[in-house]
Amino acid sequence: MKHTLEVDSIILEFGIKRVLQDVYIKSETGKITGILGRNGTGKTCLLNIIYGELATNEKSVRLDGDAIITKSRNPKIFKYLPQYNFIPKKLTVKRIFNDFELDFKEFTKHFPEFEKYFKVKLFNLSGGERRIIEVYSILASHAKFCILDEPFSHIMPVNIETLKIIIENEKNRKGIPITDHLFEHVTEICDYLYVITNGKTFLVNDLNDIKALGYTN
Amino acid sequence: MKTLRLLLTFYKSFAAFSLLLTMISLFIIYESGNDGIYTLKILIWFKLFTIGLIYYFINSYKKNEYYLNLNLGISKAKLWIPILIFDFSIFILSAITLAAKLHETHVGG
Repeated sequence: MKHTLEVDSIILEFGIKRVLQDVYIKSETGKITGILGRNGTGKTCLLNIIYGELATNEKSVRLDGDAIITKSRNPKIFKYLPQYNFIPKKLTVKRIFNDFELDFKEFTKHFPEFEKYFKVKLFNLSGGERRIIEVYSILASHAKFCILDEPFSHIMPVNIETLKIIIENEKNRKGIPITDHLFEHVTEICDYLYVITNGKTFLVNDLNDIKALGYTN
Repeated sequence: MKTLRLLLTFYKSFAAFSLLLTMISLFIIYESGNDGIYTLKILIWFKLFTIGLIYYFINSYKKNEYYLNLNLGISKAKLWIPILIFDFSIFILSAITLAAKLHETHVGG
């Protein structure tokens, strides 16, 4: 079944600084929605507003046309990957896969080098390996929308390519809003691409639009 | 079961410190002897203050880990309320029991 997530009418201010004011983002099952923007333009804030973790006076977040008015998000509907590590290092890979109800064998089809890590605690993994576990746990678990904030950070190029394949596979059963400063990867996989500039979102078509909005040279 | 496991994982991040404070409080009550029952009143405020400090510390330095629990369906309130009730119950029950025993012993003696 196809689901649609729409976000608009957001006003976000920190003191006298207005960060977001004229935003429209749409994500739907089967589509990857890229969000780009310079540092401090409010990408992470926007994703946190969608996830309910950042309160604003004005916002409209709608799932299949119905406004979501509660702060809490049902994990069967929304999963959120923050831009920093969020799984305690003392947990084992096995425990994480159990908690997220994921199949480790399926994971090792993509990342065979992780086979030896099943009973290992995260603090024994490198930063990139730890990030792969975190990205996969959000991306592959059951949800209608997986919000990904900088999923490619700290990950080596060959594994980014694998993650992109997984994202492409997963989009068949969910909507995936994604932001990352490794924008070539985002532009390559996304179906819709928005750039945030001066608090506003612009739906763009190609690299020239991105350049014109000041995100790249 | 998964919820309990997640609560335990979160509690473990500050349980040792919290239980140490409880042990120190019990020691102070023990040292107060007959006056332990009166010291208890001050120690309850001390315990509540340290709970506030722990809450502040976790929110400042371990807030990222909330996302694990949120992604698995446990809000901050669902995380904190049972843990704080459990932690405070250990303190208050052991402190009252010890203070009452000490009071009885001194009154009886």
